[in-house]
Amino acid sequence: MQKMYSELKDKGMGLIAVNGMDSDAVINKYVEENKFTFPIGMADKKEGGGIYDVAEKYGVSAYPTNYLIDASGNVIWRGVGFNEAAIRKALAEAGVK
Amino acid sequence: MKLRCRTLLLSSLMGLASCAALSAHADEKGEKILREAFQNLHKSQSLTADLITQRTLTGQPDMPGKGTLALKKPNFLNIVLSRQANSRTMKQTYVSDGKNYFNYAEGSKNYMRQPAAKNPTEFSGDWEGEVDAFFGGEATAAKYNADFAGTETLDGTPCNLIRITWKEGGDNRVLTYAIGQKDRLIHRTSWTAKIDETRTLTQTNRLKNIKINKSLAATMFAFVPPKDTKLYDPQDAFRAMEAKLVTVGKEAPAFELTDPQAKTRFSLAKMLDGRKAVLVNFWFYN
Repeated sequence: MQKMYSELKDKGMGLIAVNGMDSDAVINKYVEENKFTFPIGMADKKEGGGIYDVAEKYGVSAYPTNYLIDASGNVIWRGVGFNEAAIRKALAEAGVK
Repeated sequence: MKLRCRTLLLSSLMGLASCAALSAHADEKGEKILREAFQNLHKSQSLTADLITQRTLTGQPDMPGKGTLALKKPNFLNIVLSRQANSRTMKQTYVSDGKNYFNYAEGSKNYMRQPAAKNPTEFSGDWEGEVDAFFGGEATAAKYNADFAGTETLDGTPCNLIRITWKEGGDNRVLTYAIGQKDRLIHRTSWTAKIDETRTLTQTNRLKNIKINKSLAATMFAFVPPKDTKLYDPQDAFRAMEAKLVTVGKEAPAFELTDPQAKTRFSLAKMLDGRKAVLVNFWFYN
């Protein structure tokens, strides 16, 4: 993910890693260790835990799940699991190549 | 629940094996009775019985069950067990037709299927003691370090009690067989395991009306899927999961998140600004 982002961020790719389950401290340590440069965002947790708002809005029940959203704010691709080739293909179709 | 018990019993058997290897003090009488019972079951071509079970776990309501059990060599099996839990009845059916092993919980829309084991001692369930004895035979008994623990009469049938004890993770585990003095059949198994500091799990299986070497029709071991059920397909679960996702072509729901380091807020809209596409990745670390 980091590799793809480094390669394509100057070509118009944005990335948000949405996390709603870990603590800030755990994430910051993990980011530091792996030298991630892409933005990670902590979702607002719901009271009592469980699924969080953003995941609910996006119907996410398995991780990782990826969505590709174009400049006009529409979903242009989605996939459960991490399939780099499929993500790159969808990005290319959106002009990120 | 079922998985946990399976693990328990599996590890229990491993515990027994290592215990037998140490063989601190063999009780010849106990071992002889147990070996004979297992030999007897191993020689039998078929076995049918009524099954009455009881499960108790400290702090939880008891879970009594009743059903029927039919076994036939080399790997045919038909077990129906209805258990009570929280005033609900759960009826479970297990069938091995020799080729496949089916598992169905009443009320469920799906039934499970997997290839049947050649030697069905691997079948999991609350009756493992009986099934293993029937299919596993003397080889299974040889792993045990058994002690004679007295006698008990079960509904008019005098039985010898054979107790197997072993240590596992510093705890004492006990498995007791009640073996008919005349028929040399297992009429009851009971095992206890300490789950943790405060909780003990006990499972007792009572077999009644035991009949061996009865001729059993093949149809008895045929699984007929109940009306309106179908084979469980993991792809169904995946498709159901995908169906919940936002459809391609729809507007992506707006959201805001907090940067874990800077503690500042940022939005999807902001991220989209000036970019061709944004990948939104849902993940977690631990």
